[in-house]
Amino acid sequence: MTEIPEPPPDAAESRAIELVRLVSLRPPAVDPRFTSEVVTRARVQRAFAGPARALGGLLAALGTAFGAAVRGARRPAP
Amino acid sequence: MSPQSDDADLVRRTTRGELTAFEQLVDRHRPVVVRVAAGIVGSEEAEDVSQDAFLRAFHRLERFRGEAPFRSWLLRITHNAALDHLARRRPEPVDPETFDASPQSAVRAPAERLELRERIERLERKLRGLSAEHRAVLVLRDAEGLSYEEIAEITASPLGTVKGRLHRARREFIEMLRANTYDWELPQ
Repeated sequence: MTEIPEPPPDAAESRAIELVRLVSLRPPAVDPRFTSEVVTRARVQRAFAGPARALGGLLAALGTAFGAAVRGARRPAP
Repeated sequence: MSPQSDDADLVRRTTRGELTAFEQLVDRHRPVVVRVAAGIVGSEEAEDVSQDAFLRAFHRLERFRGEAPFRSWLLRITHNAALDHLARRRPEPVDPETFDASPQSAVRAPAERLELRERIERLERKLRGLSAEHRAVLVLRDAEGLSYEEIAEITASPLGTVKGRLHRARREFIEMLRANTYDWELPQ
């Protein structure tokens, strides 16, 4: 990907850029367990995601079947 | 192996169920994700937003097609997670006094590091006075040095919008800084 050339920033913009960079020099402290916590949460969520999807599918199927049964019961006999 | 193909390999392994590969992805991209999140939501909440972004990415990895670099894809998720976080949060009132922080407080602190820390805190408070969209482009372009094309991809905005937004963000930041000539004029 090629960067489109742009005019150089003026003095005020250069100063603003310099100060934004200064702020980013001090990244926030992150808990040393950050990565292990993310991986643990990912593992737990994945473990629940499959059964939750299956349960959701089952409930949806039951709902559809129930709706069809109710509609069938209400339909007058020919 | 290039970082991009390396990332692609780690993504493939993660989608096959290898959480150690996901762990490597998190370790590799954590610094930039935390910096970008901090630039948008502030340092205090950057860690929560970053965790949220990595988890969102984890659940969407199968949708990653590799058309854009993994970093851009992940930063797009981070950017969205940060904006969602701000939308849920009550708007934070910006104290106008923080724009006129007196140099007296800094003069009282003799240590140079403390002086620098206080200065960065004042600048962070000023950045919080900008809109989230403006903060995002400033941090992506001026702090992270990303290309306009990558920022357009991350923010899901047209290139022209990114350039215009960046120009307005810088001008707005400059006006805020000029209101406190101490930070504006102090040499680094």
